[in-house]
Amino acid sequence: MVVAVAVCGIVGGLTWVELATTGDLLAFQDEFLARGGSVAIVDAEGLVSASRCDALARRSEVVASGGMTRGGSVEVLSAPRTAFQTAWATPGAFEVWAADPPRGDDWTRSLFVGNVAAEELGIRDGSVILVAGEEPQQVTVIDVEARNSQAARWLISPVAPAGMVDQCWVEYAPADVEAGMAALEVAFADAGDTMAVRRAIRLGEFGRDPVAELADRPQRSAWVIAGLLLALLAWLATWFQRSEIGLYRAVGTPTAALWLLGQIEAFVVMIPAACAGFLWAAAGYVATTDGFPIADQLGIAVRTAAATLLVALIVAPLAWPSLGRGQIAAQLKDR
Amino acid sequence: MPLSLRGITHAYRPGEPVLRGVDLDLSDGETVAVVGPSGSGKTTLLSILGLVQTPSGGAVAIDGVTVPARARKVTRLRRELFAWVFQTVNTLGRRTAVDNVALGLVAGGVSRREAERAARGALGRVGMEAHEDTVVHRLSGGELQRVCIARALVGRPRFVCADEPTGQLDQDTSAEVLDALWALRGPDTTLVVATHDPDVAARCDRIVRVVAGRIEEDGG
Repeated sequence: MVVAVAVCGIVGGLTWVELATTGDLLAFQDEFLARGGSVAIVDAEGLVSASRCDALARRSEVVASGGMTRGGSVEVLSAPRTAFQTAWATPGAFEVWAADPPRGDDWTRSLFVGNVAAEELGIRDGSVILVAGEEPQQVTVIDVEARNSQAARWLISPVAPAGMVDQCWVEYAPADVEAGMAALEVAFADAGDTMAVRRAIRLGEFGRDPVAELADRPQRSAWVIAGLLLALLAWLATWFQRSEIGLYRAVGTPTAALWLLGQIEAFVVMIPAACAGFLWAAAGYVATTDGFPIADQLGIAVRTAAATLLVALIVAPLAWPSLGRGQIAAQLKDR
Repeated sequence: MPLSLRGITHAYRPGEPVLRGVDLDLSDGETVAVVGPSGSGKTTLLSILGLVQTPSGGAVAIDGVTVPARARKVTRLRRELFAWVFQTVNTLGRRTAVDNVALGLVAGGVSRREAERAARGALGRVGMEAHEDTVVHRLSGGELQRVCIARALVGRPRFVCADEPTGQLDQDTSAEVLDALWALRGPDTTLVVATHDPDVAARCDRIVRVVAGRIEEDGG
């Protein structure tokens, strides 16, 4: 019983730690990507070809691409003496910046307002604003804060991908971003000395390395110690069964059969207990995080739990033949 | 002689001998009581002749052949020739009476079904048919000892060693257990009982008195 509880607890605990660790890394990874982890910016102060930038979106490794050019500052009549930056962007840029980019009729409105600017101006999606010196315009509020926090205070006009732009924003599939950035430097090499290719995230904004964290997590090697600990507990439990082992020996049970008995006992106790521990931890994780672990998470947790159990199942049965040494008469008195 | 002990000495701790050169011959079919005061070496002598204790010196021979030192051969001899009834009831407490009785047969490679059938027969012979499938920790002391006797009986052993088989039982239960034990006797089965109880000794064909590790008296 003690061994079963220990197996359940240790396997369950390891499973929980694995699910929690990988869940944390996945959440970080999601945030990293949401904040532009796989977005590259080509910056060349009006020397980047907008059509070439938009054309990148046709490549298989590119999720979206678009160009933008900064304008001057303007004053909205409802907020006098407050300057807002203007900019022009191709539809592809909105695809890169916004979690929910404009679709369909949104393009018929001639002006997009960043979400922070919209809050400051007290306007909503579909409101009409009056920019100094221009006609009244119906606006679409767009949330671009995660990927381009500056643009959250901009008034942005959509333009067709033609002419030259200041920047080209390119979102890659996560695995292709490094290679893609190298290719960008070649593709826009004619943009002159001012051209620079960089990640969209700010330097130092994300100091973690999920791959290294996954590789260095302590429980990655804890299964050996956990497995041996369980085996030690099983040995202790067997130690209290010495008179039983003595009885088996007194009726002439060979050493190999004692080993087999140890295996049967270990399998019967440990496998169901480990399964219960794993399921308990998985259910607990689902209940506390309100989400199911993904296949990779489960795979990692299963590998760690199974490795722990395997070590215990290999070492624990040896207790029977090992403790079955010595004088039978003495063992029979050990009660 | 079917079972001979020659020059048996034994000490659990250096310088404190429990047996000091014991010679003993046992014949087929006889019942032998090993008696003597506490600490005289009765149980040690029984353990050595029952092959559950290796003596410090001397030799045990079966049918004139010295029992070898190799553990595997001793295990086989123990399984094929010997059966034990202990003073402290040694059973697998979480298993049924049938499981306990079938233990030795299963260890000897008999099929589970065959072993169970023989175990039920043996339990019937000691009057335990009503408790065949009872988990043994629910049985009384006398019932447990009868399970142990059935376990000894089932393998048709040549030598049955009983160490104070009634030591922890009341008088009525003792009589029942002894009856069951004596039912094990047969022309080819030698019964050796270590006991303090004069009634048990009186039932035997031969009484061997052990005092201070030596056989002081050997007779009927």
